Amino acid sequence: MFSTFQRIQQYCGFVTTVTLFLAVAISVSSIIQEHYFTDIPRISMNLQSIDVRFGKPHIGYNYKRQEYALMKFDLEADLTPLFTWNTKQLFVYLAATYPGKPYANKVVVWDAIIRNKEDALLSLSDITADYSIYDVTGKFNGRNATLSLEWNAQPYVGLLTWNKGSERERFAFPQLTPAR
Amino acid sequence: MLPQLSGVNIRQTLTQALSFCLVLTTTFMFWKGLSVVTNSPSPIVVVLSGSMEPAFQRGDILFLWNRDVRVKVGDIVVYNVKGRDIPIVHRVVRNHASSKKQLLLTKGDNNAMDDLDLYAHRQYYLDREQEVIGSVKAYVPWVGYVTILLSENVWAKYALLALMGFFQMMQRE
Repeated sequence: MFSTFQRIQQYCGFVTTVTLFLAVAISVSSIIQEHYFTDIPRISMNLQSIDVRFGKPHIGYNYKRQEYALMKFDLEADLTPLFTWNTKQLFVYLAATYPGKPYANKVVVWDAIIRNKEDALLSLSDITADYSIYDVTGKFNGRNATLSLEWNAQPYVGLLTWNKGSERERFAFPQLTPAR
Repeated sequence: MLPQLSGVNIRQTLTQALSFCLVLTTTFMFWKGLSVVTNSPSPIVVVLSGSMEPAFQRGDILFLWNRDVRVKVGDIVVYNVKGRDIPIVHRVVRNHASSKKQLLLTKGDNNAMDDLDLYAHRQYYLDREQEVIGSVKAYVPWVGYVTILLSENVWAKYALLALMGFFQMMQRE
């Protein structure tokens, strides 16, 4: 009886050690793969239109009446090289960065979850952003902004990684469009 | 009964109690040490809801890091809204940072709407310093399901206790 118990204990310990080692090995190898053996993704984006209105943002729980901006854009991106053998999903998002006083801002306007390499070829034209932009101060005052495509790679096991494309699309917030 | 309580037996019992205490204190010290290193009151968390699916499922384990003064858009943070003691794991979708303060808006990947509904009444942003307890850096699937099983099922708790008692008896022989 005692030896049976001891064997179970040893077996469990061994399984745990092997699993742990395997998990670390998978994570490290995928990070090496991501850093040294993948190409830089090809991205191109283009802002079609941006509209600033006064009222409530079109989505979200913020019911404050303030200026908000909604954009339409084109996006072409080949993100297939970002998939390593340990990639569970890719969270891709388009972020608008714009300065301000006292707050410097960065806001996600569009996002997507990509779960397969086959779906990583994005080709979107003239689509409306998922989220509208609104500022802490409630006004944009024609500030300049940049759009960039960024992503978070979610592994099956191990470290999460974040990265971004070098492409930028610059624009300025237009003046308020009067409500119809 | 009494004759069994010879010196050897007491010594054995005491040694066992001591080693049990050692296991407890070591675990506690490891947890608190990790807390100091990561600067987070709870450096390892178990996912309890499906709001970040398909990235995180119930029972997955997340390792947090809280040494960065500012979190970034796209980061997945764990936050505790003041007055509500349920930690929530969601992604940062808005960041308004000044030299003194950072305001954040979060959203679950699997939720259609942002988190304003989960914040306090009339709270429009999270405060990075006050409410965020760490951002997710590493991920291990499934392992945390044991704790969910234990906290949500009474029978699992008793089963574990019985199993521990059984092991204790086995070791005595």
